[in-house]
Formats: sequence, structure tokens, C-alpha cells
Amino acid sequence: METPDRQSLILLLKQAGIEPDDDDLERFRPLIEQYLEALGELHSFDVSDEEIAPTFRPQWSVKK
Amino acid sequence: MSLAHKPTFHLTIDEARHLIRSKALSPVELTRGFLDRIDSVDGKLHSYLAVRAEEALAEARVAEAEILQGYYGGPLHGIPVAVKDQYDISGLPAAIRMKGPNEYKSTEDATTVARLRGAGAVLLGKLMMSGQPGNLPQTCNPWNLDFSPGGSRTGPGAATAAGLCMASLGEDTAGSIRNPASLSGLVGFKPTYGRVSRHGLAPLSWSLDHSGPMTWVVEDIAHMLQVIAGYDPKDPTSIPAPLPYYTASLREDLKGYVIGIPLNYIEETKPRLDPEILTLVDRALIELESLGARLENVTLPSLKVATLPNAVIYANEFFAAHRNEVGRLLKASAASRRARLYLGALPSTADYIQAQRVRSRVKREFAEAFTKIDILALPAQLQPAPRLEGTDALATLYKNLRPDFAGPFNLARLPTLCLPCGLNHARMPVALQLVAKPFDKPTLLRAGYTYQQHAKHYEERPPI
Repeated sequence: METPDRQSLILLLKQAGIEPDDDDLERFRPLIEQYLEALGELHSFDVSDEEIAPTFRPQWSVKK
Repeated sequence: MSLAHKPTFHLTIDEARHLIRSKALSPVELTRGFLDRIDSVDGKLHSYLAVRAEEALAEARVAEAEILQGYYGGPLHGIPVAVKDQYDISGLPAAIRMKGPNEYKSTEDATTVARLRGAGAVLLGKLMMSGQPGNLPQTCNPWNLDFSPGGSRTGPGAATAAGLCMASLGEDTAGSIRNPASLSGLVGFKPTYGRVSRHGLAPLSWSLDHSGPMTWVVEDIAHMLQVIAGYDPKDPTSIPAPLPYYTASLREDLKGYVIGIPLNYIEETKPRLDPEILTLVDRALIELESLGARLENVTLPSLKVATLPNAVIYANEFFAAHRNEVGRLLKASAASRRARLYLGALPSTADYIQAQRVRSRVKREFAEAFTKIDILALPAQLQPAPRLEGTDALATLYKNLRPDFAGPFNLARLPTLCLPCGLNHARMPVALQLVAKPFDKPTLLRAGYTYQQHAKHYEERPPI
């Protein structure tokens, strides 16, 4: 996933209610870049027709 | 060592309860001993945020009077314990609620705290946790003060291992019970989600937060769970499942048990996995086999991506939980917490949903695996305790983005026990992790107890 440039990142954070601090933005940027890269990996993982969070069913874990 | 020669701060709950019940040990003297120990040691360790010295002694006097009058309330009666700052204790500030160290005072006990009180436990105080506001000192590892106990300020592991309380309550969103327990040579237990109430626990991530105990031995985990586990109508995610009698699981018997080892996944982590940890965990697995268990390779294809959705859900739920006070939090919080707010604030709906879909897949794979095995076994940590000096405050956040041994089990909400399996060359603790299907704590406790009784790593205490 592409990392937004500094101005876009500031805009994104402001939209979410964060007034970014310059030092924090500098310090956290490598982490944000890794996070966005990891999100790309997450979306590339094929879960086919999997839906959101089904609950465990008792029969799933019955030892055969 | 006989109990008579053991310092009281080295007694386990299981040992102390017999002495208290037979009136050979006074809860007041026991509590005073722990308060003295905190006074003499915690200046070096920095594990406590607040000590309730007078209140704890008053509670111990009540417990003692009750026992002398013939009312014995169970294994925790008169036992000094402590809780992470994340838990509300009525009348005490909750620094982690982010409104400055002294601005916010809890008006009600967390359910778990209330249950500990109800069982007659003595509350020594609140323990440090990462991300608290203010310039608090770093917590040190009692095995070596130059090392971390599993985070920049992680009090429960350090305090329990150093004998500054007999047990503590921690909270695990991405390993925060298991990691400090592993690095401090303790037994740590992350229960099935919904088994132990989260009411009165400051939220980090609603769907990943697990409340659980850290103790010196497996028996004490059983004693703590018997009190804190069980349905709580105040927690909407609490599950009304029957509560087993946990100490009944404490038998040395692994015959017929199948222990699955996710070899592919462990291989995946090898570039970052300390080889000495692998050696000690391998040795523990061989011991489990010699005790009657059968070892089997188990393949869980989604495990390799299961840490990542945990990190995404954590960041998003953390931001959502604090969205309306984010400006104040950014001013008051430590760097790790500010960084997590930044991550959670990034556009996230599709990411959060994808993380939940991967979560479904991971849960399904675990459920299938537990039709063939009783327990999954793997290391509890990738690395031994890191040095405090030079540790990046954001290290945990980076770690959470790559395959590890903690996040997948928060994601799948499975019960997980970690317990010591030796010391490395630098005499720092290493731990084995055992995982079971939901609500199968008895199997975990039995396996952990059997191994513990055989390996006897609990006999060695930190030098502090």
C-alpha cells in the first residue's frame, strides 16, 4: 500500500481528529509506513468467502 | 526448602493458604512482610504505581479476625495481591484512563477486583503499565535490573516475580500477560475471551482485551481463576458457561494427550527467534512426551498472517475507544500510545473488515486443529528480555506487525498458558506456551501442572 506524502498524511490525521505534532509525525512515520505496507499484505491474503467473526460452534472442536 | 525456612514473600498462594487456614500464618504479618518488601525493593524495581499500605493492613486485619472466628473464606483469604493500573479500584486514581495521574478516581471496583475482595484477598495496590502519562521511571526485570520485564513499564510481572505480591492481575491485548510472565519467570494465563469479566478494565481493544492472572506456580493460577472467572452481567461479552472446579485439574497425567506443534509457523519466525529459546522449548516438549503426551506436527496456514489482523483491530478499536478525547490523550500519553492513536486514525474501514475476515479464518483453522489435538505448544516469546537502555519505545508496535507468538491467540480468543521452561545463558527466563480450545482451561492447567512438577523451574527465584 502506498504511503501518503506528508501533507496528505496530515490531512488524513486531521480528518480523524488528530492535530499532528511535527516531532511525532517525524518519529512515527517509519512505523506508519510499515503499518501501511502490512495492510497491503493483509488484503493480499486470500480468505475467499470468509465473513466477519463467526462464533465458535461446539461441534467444531469435538475431538474425533 | 521447607516452608519454615522460606521467606514469606517466596511462599506461593497454595502454600500460604494451608498456613493461614491452620492459623500458623497471620494475614496481618504476611501483608506487613509484603509492604516491607515493597518498601525495600521497589525503589529499584519501579513496579508499583500506588501502594495501599494502610488499607491493605486494615483488610488483612479483617481477614485475620474472620479466620480467628472460624470463618475461612477459601484459598485467597488473607492473600496479598496487586492489579495492573488498568483495573479500577474504588477511590484510587486510574492513571491509564488518561486524564492525568490524579484527575480521575474510580468510583467502583472492577468486577475482578470486587471478586478478589469478596474472596478475602488483600489489595496491596496498583501496578505500572505501559503508556501511562507523566515521567514515570521504567520498570526493571527482577532477574537483572538492566533488562525489561516485558515493556517499558510493566509492573505485574516484575512485582510478582520479585515477591512484592503473591499474585497479580494483568491484561492481555497482544501478549501483555504472557510476555511479562515469560520474561519474569512466572506462570501467566490468558483465559478464553468472555470467561473473565472486563467490567472496570480501561479498554485498549474491546474485542482483544483479556483479563487474567500471573503467579509463581500453576496451582495459584487455578486459585485465582476460581475467584475471578465466571459470568458477569455487567460485561456484555461475558459468557454464562458453567465454571469448573479448577484445582481438580491439578493432576500429573498426560497419558492420551495429543500436543500439536506448529512447526511451519515456528520455522517462519526463525530469522527473529532466539535459538536458545528454541532449544529450551524443544527440551520442554521432549519432557512432555516423556510424561505420556504424543507430539504431532500441526499445520495452520493462516497463522503466518494472524499477528497482523490483531495489530489492525487493536489500533482501530483503541482509536475508536478514545476518539472523543484524542487531543487530551495525545498531550498526556507516552509515545507508544500516541503512535497507536496515529495508526488507528488512518482510513480503516476496509482494513478493519479484512482483519475480521482473517480472524474468522484463523478461528476456523484452530477449531479444526482442535478436533485432532488437545493442546498446541510453541514458544511464548521470540527473544529473551531486552535491555532497558536503548530500547525503542515503539518496539512493541513494530513487533506487532510481524509474525509472533502472542497476537494470534488474542485474535482467536483462545485460552493460553505460558510457564517457565528454563533460564538462558544470561540467566534470564524462557517460557513455553500451551494453547487449548475455548473454555478448556482444565486441560491447560493439567498439562502445565504436570510439566511444572516434573521440571521444577519454580524452585529458582530471581536474585533481587
